[in-house]
Amino acid sequence: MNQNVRALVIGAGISGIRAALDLAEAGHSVLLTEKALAPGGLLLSLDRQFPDNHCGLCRILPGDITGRVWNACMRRGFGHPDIEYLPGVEVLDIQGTPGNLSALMNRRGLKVDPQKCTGCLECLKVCPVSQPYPLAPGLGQCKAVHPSAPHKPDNWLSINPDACTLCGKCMEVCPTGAIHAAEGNGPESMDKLSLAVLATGVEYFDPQLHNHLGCGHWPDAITSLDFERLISGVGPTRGVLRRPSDLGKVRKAAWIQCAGSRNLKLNADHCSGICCMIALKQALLAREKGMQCALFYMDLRTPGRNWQKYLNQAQQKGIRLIRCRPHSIVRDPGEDSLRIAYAPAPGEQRDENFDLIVFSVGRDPGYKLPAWAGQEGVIVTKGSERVLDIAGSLIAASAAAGRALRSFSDSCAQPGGEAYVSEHEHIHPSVLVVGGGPAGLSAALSLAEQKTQVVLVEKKDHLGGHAIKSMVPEVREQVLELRDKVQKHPEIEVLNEARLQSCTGPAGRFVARLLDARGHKREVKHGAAILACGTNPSRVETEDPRIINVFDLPEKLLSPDAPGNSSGRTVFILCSGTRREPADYCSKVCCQLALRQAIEIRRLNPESEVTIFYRDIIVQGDDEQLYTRARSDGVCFIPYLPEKPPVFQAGEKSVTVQGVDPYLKEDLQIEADRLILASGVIPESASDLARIFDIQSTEHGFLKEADVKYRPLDSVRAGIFVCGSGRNPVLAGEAVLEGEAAAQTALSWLARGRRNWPGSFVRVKTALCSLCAMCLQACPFKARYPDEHTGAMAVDALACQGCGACIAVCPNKASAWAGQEEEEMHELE
Amino acid sequence: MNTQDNLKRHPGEETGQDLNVLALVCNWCTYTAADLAGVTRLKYPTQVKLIRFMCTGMIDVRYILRCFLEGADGVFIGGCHPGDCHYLSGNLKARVRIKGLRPVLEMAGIPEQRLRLSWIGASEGKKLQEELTGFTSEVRKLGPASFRQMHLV
Amino acid sequence: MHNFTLIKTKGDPGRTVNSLLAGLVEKELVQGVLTLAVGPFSSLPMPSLLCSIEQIKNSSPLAPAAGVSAAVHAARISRGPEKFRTAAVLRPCELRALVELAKLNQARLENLVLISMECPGRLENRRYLELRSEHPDLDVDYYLHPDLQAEASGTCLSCTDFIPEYVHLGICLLGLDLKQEIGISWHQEQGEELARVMEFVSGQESDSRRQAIKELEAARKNAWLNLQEKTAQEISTPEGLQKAIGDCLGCFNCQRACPVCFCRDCVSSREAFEQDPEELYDRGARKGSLRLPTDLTMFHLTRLAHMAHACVGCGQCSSVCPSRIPLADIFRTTGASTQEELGYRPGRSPDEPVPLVRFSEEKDT
Ligand code: SF4
Ligand code: SF4
Ligand code: FES
Repeated sequence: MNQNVRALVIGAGISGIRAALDLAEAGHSVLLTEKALAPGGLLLSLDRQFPDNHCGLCRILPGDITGRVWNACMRRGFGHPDIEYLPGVEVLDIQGTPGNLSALMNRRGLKVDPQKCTGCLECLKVCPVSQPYPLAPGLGQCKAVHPSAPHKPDNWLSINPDACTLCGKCMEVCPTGAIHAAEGNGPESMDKLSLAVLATGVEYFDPQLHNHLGCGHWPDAITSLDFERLISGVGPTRGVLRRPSDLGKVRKAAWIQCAGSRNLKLNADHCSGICCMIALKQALLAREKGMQCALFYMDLRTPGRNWQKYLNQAQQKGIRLIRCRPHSIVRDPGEDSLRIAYAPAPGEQRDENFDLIVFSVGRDPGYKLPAWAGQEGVIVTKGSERVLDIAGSLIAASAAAGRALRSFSDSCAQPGGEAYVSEHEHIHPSVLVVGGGPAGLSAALSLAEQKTQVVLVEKKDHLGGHAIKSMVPEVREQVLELRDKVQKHPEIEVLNEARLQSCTGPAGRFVARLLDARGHKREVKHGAAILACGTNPSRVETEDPRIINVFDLPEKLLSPDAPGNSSGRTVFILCSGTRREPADYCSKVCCQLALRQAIEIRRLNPESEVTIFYRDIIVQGDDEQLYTRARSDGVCFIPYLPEKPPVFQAGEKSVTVQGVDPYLKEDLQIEADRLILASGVIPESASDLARIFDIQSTEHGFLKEADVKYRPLDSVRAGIFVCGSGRNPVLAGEAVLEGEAAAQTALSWLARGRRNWPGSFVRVKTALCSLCAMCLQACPFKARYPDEHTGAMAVDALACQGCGACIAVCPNKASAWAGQEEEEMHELE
Repeated sequence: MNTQDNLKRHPGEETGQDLNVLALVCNWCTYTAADLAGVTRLKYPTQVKLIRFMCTGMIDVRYILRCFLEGADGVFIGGCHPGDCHYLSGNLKARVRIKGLRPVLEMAGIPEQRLRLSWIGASEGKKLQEELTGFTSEVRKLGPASFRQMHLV
Repeated sequence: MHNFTLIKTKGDPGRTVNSLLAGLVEKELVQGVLTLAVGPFSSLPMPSLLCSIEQIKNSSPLAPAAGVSAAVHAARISRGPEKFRTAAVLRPCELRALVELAKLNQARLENLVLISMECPGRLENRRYLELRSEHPDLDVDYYLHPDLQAEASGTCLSCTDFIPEYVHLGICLLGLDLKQEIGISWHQEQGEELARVMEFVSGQESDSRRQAIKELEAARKNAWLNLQEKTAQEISTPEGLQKAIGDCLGCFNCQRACPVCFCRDCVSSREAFEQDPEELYDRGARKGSLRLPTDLTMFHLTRLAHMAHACVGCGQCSSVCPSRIPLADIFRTTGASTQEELGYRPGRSPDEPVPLVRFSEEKDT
């Protein structure tokens, strides 16, 4: 195993753990530092996460059943032979060059040795400090010495170095001498690091500091982070929702969105991206406990394939959605609850009382990366720049791990070499990438730059997908650059106009059959496949040149004789084909495209009028600035309700668009010179690919991943990965990131072929097997296949994760644990 | 495999307990919850013996039958919430299997209250305690199972 | 029903069926026929693969006996390559078992022409021989005399699924004067095809037929409910079960006779005989004594757990039990509730997936 790479990963939240695992699984040695004691970061306080409202954190573990790797719930711990975990360590600075970095670290404060600590908690009694409880600052105080994480035993105490006064009282009372100044306390330098990944995550907005709507003044107005602790089974109230002020029962709760985001006064012209989903989740969890829930919002942002459904579910469960930003919160004398005052429409004043108010906080507008983050050789995960959901953070982390490795790829581990598990079960050290859009290109290039052979197949006669026509110059340039590099790279073979026909073989020894551009048959052996097919714009059925698909507009916009270009009125209707059945998902790309176009139209012709009918403007992160800009440029935005979408009629002189004025509740009519429809995208080739590669697809035909939160780019089949818009609509930049992440995930898988894999934990007693194939249906990872030679089922050792489903379902135990007889399982004596 | 070691402990052995309750729990969620219950000093009945399985999806119905025939008074199965299973769908498989097993137990004269399937997430130490306590007292109401003393064919 | 025709019998419905079967071979629609026939050395009609026209004309497709379930043999024969196409004449319960086996990859239905009949029930093997010594023409008389039909096995007398479902050609016997005519119905694409080649002409079904079916249904249903109740009462306690299976010899006949038990080597039969003396002593010491062979309760419960959902109610297990354990009653009663729980009807259609690997993604319940 190539251990000449020594990687530093800073931050042991899920991003850091993911990056560390990716590096370690690819065969490198990793140092993982964490400021706190317990690994897990924010996830330690999120018991349940959207969209399934459960956990599943353990699924980020590599599925390694050899016993090398921690194989239990990560809330209890974490371990990997190639990862050295350094808790209580803060990185202060990094210097040097890629391949030879040195980091200045600080081991901080006092430490409690879990080996010696008996959990008597004497120290807690004497500690003079009182600090806000680190996981939930709004929910009260604790001592400087406190339990390290909700799930950790009492002998896992941390001392917050920022709060600790070093008075030494705890050391005096500790009966076992478990508390000591950490060895090597203080700054220390670590040299000869090959690369560093910064995965500390962002800081969250603290409404108290800004006295945002009186938060801080009212104990019952808390942040969404505090709420997670309040509803947690291991939180201060053991999961019973109580008002922090008087522990009274909560009957009614309200969420106020965009606290510290989308707020120009706070200089926060960004959308934090996931607070809408977090709020919906929290409301759903509260609803489960019988609470009445209301959500105050401006736009409910549910981008992509899955979240619209989640929103529908929330509405079905009776969560009230109020489109409006409350202007004040007060408590009336003699009342226990807080009163929210708001104006849902101009001149319409309302108020309502709630027991609990939750501020949905996002990235602190003042948050900045440390200065050394810009150091060459230090790769910053996207999740440390903006708030991302779980899948997003993991994707960003894998991509960062890949970028870090590529930053000095010469000394990287070489795939190939002895790629053997046993003679029969090696993984072919090459990857088939399907789809030449931004995701596919970036996957191919990342793989090639890490010395892995790639065959890239593309249906069309050119690479780059729709992105090469993008309106955004940076995107165009990025994709064109990728395309050039891919076309020139010696490790990559590009097959344009190729048609895939089948892919067979056990995991790691796949054989794809395809027809190349000339119609010749080709067989491609590969160890992994990355399915990166994109989406296509859905068609707008019209002959009328004035009615235009938002995806066709850029070209038409630039041509001087385009209708209505010189002056007149342009109307956009967003979500005209999506976010309702039969395409009940968000295409994610249309909103930002429409905003850019609206801005451009106004720029080209300041006389023109632009109106946008929308349900929710769904842009995230800094794309929020497009929205701000469009509004200040005089674009008129009119929200509509899904049950009353605007209708249009093409007349002789103009296209008449009829909608409803949301405030006056009156009909509203616009004679437009040009109507632009955002009809959304459809994953045209995804379900075919899913069939060819024997993986699942969603009801709307997107490629389905193994687990939408924790294994976003894996399919259920080992060695087959999915990314890009064909899985879940993404912007071009995100597609590039997903491609890189998928490449990294694929490389970890290929590396498995170079490790000594012990074979499967299950076996088939061929003489007993009647080929009923029940196990084949039961195996969640498609690790079983009929073996022609033995006439019995066989197990694909590299795909098997040892779940035992096949054994439970096999009636006569032809399927059995490898090291064990069935009879032994029953020996109860 | 420690499942085997665990299974080797005979549920009917003299424990000095009035009841033998076996809890077959999944390694990932429910076992973590049990751990958490321990950590947070949530006590559950001492009659309960935990047996750890990697996943509820690997629990053969025959293990359940065996538990009863060897003298268990109650069998509790704890797994991840649907959607949470580490192996994606093991818990759903367990659910169908147990559904299909209930009539068999009924035919064997084992009332359905003696077998409980429950989803307990990693952070639900409290729920684990409640479920195990509730289950044990329900089993106690039924008294010891008769297979325990019976000379079986 | 439209796909129905009447064929004259000239006194012997069995012969009419025979010539129909012979026709299938003559027209080269199939290479052989699987049906009951009395061989030169056997006294019972046994499932036989008949290839010569002469043998087919001498077979006893309607004989009210089933020495063994023909489903298993139909399954085996069907597993060959396409060039062997067989017409299998099966009782409705055997047909259901065959469909179950097909779901488990044990049969290839595309190699079979499925023929079945409205079944008034079969006689136990012994009883068949006894009655045949009194009625030399038993195979015909049985259908003409209700008192003979009342001699059918207990399982059959409480069977409500006497009309075949997943079938290509159905032989209709109820509510007809079989001395005069029998009915043939055809189903599915394959059946249509056969009807065309055999030149069946669609005709009307009589009311008397419908009436007869209804009456039989009512009587059977009544018997079935009584049986279920009795079984539930007498057996479903720990003691009741022990009493019921108390005389089990551990011969595993029931398992071998069961047409849906498809394992190559039953896990229970291995288990019961693989204990070493030390283990036996250990267990004996714990309870004072140990019944041998051991683990028979486990065996029966395992079989229930594995197969109750697929129990087609053929009654073979009871028929073959030397200790006269009412196995079929236990199985059918348990099976009925398991099947209801899982929303499954064994043998209805090969497209209905086996329930134990079909699970709903539904989050709650
Ligand atoms: S379930 Fe058992 S008998 Fe059936 S195919 Fe799988 S290993 Fe063979
Ligand atoms: S079902 Fe069997 S083969 Fe498939 S992953 Fe689980 S243990 Fe492995
Ligand atoms: S892993 Fe917990 S039930 Fe499958």
